[in-house]
Amino acid sequence: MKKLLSYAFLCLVALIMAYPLVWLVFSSFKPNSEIFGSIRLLPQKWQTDSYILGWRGTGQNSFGRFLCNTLELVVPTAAFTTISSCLVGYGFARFQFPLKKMLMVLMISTLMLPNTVLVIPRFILFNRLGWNDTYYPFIVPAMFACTPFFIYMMIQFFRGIPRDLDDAAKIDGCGSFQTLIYVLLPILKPALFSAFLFQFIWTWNDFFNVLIYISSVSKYPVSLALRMSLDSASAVNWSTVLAMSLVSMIPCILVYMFGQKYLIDGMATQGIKG
Amino acid sequence: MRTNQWKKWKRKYTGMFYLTPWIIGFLAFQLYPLVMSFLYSFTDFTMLNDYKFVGLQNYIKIFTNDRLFLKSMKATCMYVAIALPLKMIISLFIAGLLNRRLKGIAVFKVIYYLPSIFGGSVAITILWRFIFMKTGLLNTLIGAVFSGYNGFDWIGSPKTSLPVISLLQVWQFGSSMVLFLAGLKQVPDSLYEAADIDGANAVQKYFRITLPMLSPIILFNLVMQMIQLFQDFTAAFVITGGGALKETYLYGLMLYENGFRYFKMGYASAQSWILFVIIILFTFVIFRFSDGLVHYED
Amino acid sequence: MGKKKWMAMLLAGTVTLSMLGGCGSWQEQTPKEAENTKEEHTQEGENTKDGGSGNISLRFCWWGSDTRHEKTLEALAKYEELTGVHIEGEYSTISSYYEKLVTQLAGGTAPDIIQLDYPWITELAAQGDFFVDLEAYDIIDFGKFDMDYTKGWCSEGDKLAALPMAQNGFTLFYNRDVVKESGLAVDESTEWTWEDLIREGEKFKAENPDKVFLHSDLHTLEKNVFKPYVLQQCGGQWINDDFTVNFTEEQLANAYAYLLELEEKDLIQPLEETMAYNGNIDQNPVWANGEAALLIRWASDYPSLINDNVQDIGCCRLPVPADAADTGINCKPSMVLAVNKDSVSVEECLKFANWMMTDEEAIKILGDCRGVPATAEARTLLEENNLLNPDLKTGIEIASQNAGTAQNGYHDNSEITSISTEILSRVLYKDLTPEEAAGELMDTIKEPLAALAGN
Repeated sequence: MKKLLSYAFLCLVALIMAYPLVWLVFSSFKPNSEIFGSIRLLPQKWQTDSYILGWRGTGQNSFGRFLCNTLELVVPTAAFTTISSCLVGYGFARFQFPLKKMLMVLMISTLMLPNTVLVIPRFILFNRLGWNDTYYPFIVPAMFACTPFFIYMMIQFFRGIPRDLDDAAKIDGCGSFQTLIYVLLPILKPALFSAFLFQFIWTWNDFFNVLIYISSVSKYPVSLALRMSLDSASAVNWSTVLAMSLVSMIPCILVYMFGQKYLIDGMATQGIKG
Repeated sequence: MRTNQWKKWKRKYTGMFYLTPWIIGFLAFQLYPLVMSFLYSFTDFTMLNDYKFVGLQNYIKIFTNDRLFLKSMKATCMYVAIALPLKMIISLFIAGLLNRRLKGIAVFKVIYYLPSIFGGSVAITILWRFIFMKTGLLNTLIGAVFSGYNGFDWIGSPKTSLPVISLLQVWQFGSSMVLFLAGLKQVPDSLYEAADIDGANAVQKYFRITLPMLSPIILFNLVMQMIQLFQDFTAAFVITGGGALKETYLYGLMLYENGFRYFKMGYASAQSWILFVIIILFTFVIFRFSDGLVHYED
Repeated sequence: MGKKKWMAMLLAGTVTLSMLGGCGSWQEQTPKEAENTKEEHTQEGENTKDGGSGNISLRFCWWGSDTRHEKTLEALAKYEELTGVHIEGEYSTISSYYEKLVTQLAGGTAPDIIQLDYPWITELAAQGDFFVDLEAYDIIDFGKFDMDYTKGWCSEGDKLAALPMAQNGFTLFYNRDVVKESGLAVDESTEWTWEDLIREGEKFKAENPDKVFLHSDLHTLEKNVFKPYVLQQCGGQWINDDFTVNFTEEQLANAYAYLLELEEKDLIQPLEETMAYNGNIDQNPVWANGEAALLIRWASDYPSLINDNVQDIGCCRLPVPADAADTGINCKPSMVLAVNKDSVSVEECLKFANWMMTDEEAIKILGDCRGVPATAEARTLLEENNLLNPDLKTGIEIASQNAGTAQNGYHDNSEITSISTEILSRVLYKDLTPEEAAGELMDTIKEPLAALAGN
């Protein structure tokens, strides 16, 4: 009985969450007048070419190119962020060293300043380094754990793991790095996956920062490409825009689904046996 | 003798060794922008011009002569006050429900996370109108229940526009939920098994095992979500543009406009640092308050 | 374990790929492009380089929709064919275009040829010297342009900073289907006053209570009704070159009162209903379903107003009082073209600009993707070849024949417009009376004006 109730509740919530998305999917087949004029779910007039037109894109680039660009930008950024945040988080969580408190406060407070006012100095800095029109302004900071959000996140996850495991590993002769790799990382799989996923999706959806740094259309990631054809002085085919918005979500969904197992398995059995 | 010193040195500084990437990154990519933005707040920097040092003028102006500052501050605080508790409670609750080996649970996990994948997509603008416009989904549903209901403009009416855009954050609770799920996975089954042996019921297990073990993540989520919500303006940017009597003129949006549209980068920097101080205060309060409540395994 | 290895390999592979810089078959970057990007960095702040021999590569940025992107790219390809000069198009949407341009100017990485909205010339001029004085070079064929018009809208002091690319003008659009159905007496020759508008509106609403008479949003009301209404009373510039204003509080109050009247008589939708579509007037379901009769907008918005339910739109003149000091009909160029002072080769840029706007072939390729061209020759050429939308052309013609005073860039100053729009919204939300609003506007703009004057 309790199971039934749970299912019913989950289904209700799923309906609320998903109905708008279903509407969006159907809207990618509707003409503009129907998208804005009515709230019907199914199109009265089916526009079957929105996906093809959208994929073909304008000018010299197909949407596939933009998807490729986005992967080129996002995968290294997310991967490096996860790795570096893990290392730095490990340092903060498991060790004592001079100035630790101050450094930690410094790290977290860098999060509290809004991005808007950091954009210009950052832009000038990356410009001087010659990284204009490349993805380096995103990838290189990721290598150096420049997103404190993930460092702090890893710290909290680390602190949820009993030190006994570390001690056991030390007794077995592991150095700090080996402890990290062989003992702690397997337990941290959910956290690592979350970090990768979040950075993946946030970078995937980042509009303004990418806008500032990328000027060649052939390097545009999806977030810029989706807005490329919006102009108030001409007819915008919204079904195409919606179609491509939905298509651009697919890689993110795939990453999430692929990593699901890390959220299902994780640490079913943990603890020190014997 | 030497090996002992080496060991001591190692113990003292190993942690710092792991911090090296961040230290380099901070010095190279974050210190300069931070310091510059602080300096700019004391100038009339316009991004394009050479700037003049104006002392505390920006800060004084914010507090005495900016009619939009208070309005924006109030709107932002309301925004956080609505979105933060709702997001936290819903994501915690749902994560708890989903943390079981029920058949098909993975499907739900995907569906609940889908909205978060959207970010600030152009589709959001269309979607929000679809739901909240006068002839939109919400009004249609209400009208189906209450006959004679004429429809209400949720986005355009000053009193309701802020809650409406806050709902975007709440709809995108997926990321909080994923973090809680990850945290829940770290709670060892052995603890629950032991509790079962001791004859604990579900409620006791939740409050004595689950919540304490999850508390580091709860704290993290709370603090991070709060920081992000204070700075966020995506919803205002794509749905209302700050409109409806500026009721949704979130602080982040005000910074953006001041900095990039009106060329008042120095002024925007000053406003940012004020927000910075406010966020620090709130964070400090949360940390203080949580001192006794958060349980760490180490 | 297997999946983990696979995932790790996938990651490593992608990272390697990205380092090598490409996605295989979709990669198109030529060595020329790579060299050009390097060149851009080294000429930061440097003055014009000798065009001379070797491959010149320029960057041209614009905003628009797919049609405009395609046609412009076609033109760029043609130009390369003819002259060997490669021009890289950097195109996107208008959203955040200006913010990006300003950032690029701040960092010295702005493109060589830039499409602008005319008020940006003045705004940027106050911050620095970014654009070439087109008259200092003898490359542009100024004879083909209406120089009064050009100088009126594109000047920066005595410097001609840009060329108009297309004409625009305030137009009163009418939905021919709705008009026919309801018997509203409006056609191309209609010349109403604001009172006429109200009178016709009341008649219309009496017979068609379910339809909307004048489709609007806050943005349009401020720009296309409020400002002209005031200018028609006081004449001249909205904001004078010396940062004083011509309008009095009373004139402002009259304008606010008129707009309030429109709202109270149900001739426009209440602001609560239209705020969700502010700036996106064609997405309002009223328009999407063809339920509105009239709309006051820029003539250039014509293509975006057509949809499944609204196929037939006509244009006529903006309402003007019989005793107006000025028609108040803004005929700004919809976009202008400027050349970056720090360009690699200013001469090549100018040659291209000249080609794009005056060469027959270029004009034919571009068609009306930017609207009605600014040169008379181009307009005729397009008409002869059936490349110009007749209704759009009529709208522009009517507006230009009744053009008001050419406005300086302060007319569209972001901050002042934002203040004015907000105060108007407070009037329509019944938060301020027209008199209070008038006083508040006069007070609040003092500061931004002083700031502008200080620069």
